[in-house]
Amino acid sequence: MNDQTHFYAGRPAYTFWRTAVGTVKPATFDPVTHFPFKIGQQDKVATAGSCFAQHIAQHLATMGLTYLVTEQAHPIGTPEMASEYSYGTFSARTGNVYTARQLVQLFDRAYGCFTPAETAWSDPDKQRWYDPFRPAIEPGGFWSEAELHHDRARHLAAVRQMFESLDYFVFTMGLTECWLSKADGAAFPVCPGTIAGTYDSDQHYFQNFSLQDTVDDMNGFVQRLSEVNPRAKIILTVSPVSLAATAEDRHVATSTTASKAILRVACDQLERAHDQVAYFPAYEIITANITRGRYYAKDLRSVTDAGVKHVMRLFRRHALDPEAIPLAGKRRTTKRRQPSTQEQTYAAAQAIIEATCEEQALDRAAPG
Amino acid sequence: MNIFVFGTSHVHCLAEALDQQLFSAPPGDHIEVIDIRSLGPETPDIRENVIAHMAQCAQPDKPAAWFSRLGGNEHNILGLLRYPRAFDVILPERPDLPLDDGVEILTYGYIRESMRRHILMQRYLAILKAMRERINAPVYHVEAPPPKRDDQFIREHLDPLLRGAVVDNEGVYEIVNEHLRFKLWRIHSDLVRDECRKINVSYLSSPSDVSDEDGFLHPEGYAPDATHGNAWYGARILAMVCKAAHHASHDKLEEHV
Repeated sequence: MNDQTHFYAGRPAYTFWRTAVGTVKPATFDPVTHFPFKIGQQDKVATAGSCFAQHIAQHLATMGLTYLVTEQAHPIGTPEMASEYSYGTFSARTGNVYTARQLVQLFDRAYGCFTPAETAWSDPDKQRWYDPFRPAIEPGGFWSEAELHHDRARHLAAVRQMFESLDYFVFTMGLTECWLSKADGAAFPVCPGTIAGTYDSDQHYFQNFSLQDTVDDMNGFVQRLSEVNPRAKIILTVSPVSLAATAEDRHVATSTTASKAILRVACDQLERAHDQVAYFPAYEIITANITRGRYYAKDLRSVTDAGVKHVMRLFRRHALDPEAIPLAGKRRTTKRRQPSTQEQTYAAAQAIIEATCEEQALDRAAPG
Repeated sequence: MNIFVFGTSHVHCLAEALDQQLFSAPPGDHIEVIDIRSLGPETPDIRENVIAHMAQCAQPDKPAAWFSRLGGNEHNILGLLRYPRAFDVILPERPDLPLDDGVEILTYGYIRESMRRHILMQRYLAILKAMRERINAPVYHVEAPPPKRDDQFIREHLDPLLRGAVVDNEGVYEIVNEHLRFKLWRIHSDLVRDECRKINVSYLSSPSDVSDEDGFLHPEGYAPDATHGNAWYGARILAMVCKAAHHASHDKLEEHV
């Protein structure tokens, strides 16, 4: 006879709300269990995804591991320019990749399997040109269409190099709502007309991807990536940043919940379906009620630097190989001057501002 | 009229033109060429020295016009010598110009912004801005000399200072092709014109007689180095400057932009 009185008796503390959430201090909240990968110092880590992924990328670059950047700024520019021109924001100069459809199409575009009909957007005077798939990548736009095409060819070569040389691909899923081309289903990161281009209901349509759409797209991506890079492992996160606007005729909060739920369930299914895929619960770390919303900035949408640091602290603890990365999980021993409150506030605001979110262009359309 | 031309290395050809009597000031005009580096060390503080010197030069009873030849080598610092990570660019107004095979194509905006942020560009624009604000006379800026087309001439006359400034040993002092030299000069000119417009300084493009049919510096205008014009070139610049000065005196502050 089994001496357990019931199934839950003797289960680990992290499986109980009271011990894992209800009675722990917010700073020690750790929802990560059984993370399957240990990233070594020599492993190349690449990133892509929504604007929240920019924070992850910035921290990964400083964690002592090998952050893969295949599209580097030319040294004639200043370091500040590299950042303004989105070099190093992600591993390639992808701009924000919000949806699974965008990701799989990025792969197909890089390998010549998909050439969208809509290749360039321009301003009304045709003085500046924009890449429909990275409309904010070049400050002020490209100065000629030919230049745009050259830059895109270089970019897609860098994307191929990224996919083929990475060991870990950290992808942050951001949205299910998407604008596409009626000509061929090409998925844009933002609605045409918000950052650049012109919205035309005869040419563009809205789609809110279902769970099945999202899982199918991601399965397609996993399959494609494994074909060009069999050793590649994928770490999925879901962006805790709410939708700036919804194209559905319903409250933006309802759309946000639906969207994030679909993405979160998609991650669950993908993690269970593929050994090379794991989910890292950044979404839970930021949104769990234990934080009481403290990891959101004043706009209740952007994530604060403290929230990102909590995520990355746990990422370091659970996803990095402490043997290979000496600094992982260890405190620095050198004493440093504590920044003043003003400096901390400025730095936090700066961190939020610099995670330039193309989706914020939608805010300009908000009434009032 | 007092015509003051001030600047850095690109004023020497003007002084030489006057010394060699290739150009003479029109009757009643006085031309003074000032290398601002003679006014003190070339630091950010030099701006005040320049302004103070101008105040000394000004004669209340005589009209004056000021012409800048500040800077004008930032494009050469950025791209006369071929970088180990070689690049090329497409000029929006001249997409027909050839591209160097197999090199990285940088965007026009990236190169232009790199030039704009160059410390020398910032320093010289600050001087121009201060002048415009504090000098009650027309202020012009004169375009940098067109690039030289002759590769062999440039290689043989490359300024050792320029070599050290832009490449490491991997660069082996290989120069970029003539088309890129031309493109970088055009980017520089467009940038400076736009920056001058912002601070209300009139901009004078090079006169057509200093260039060959493709826009390169006429070989007769080569100074014995990689980037500067000689007295022949300087005389033509002076002719343009004098014409502009009198145009301004008639038309007040009408812009030549």
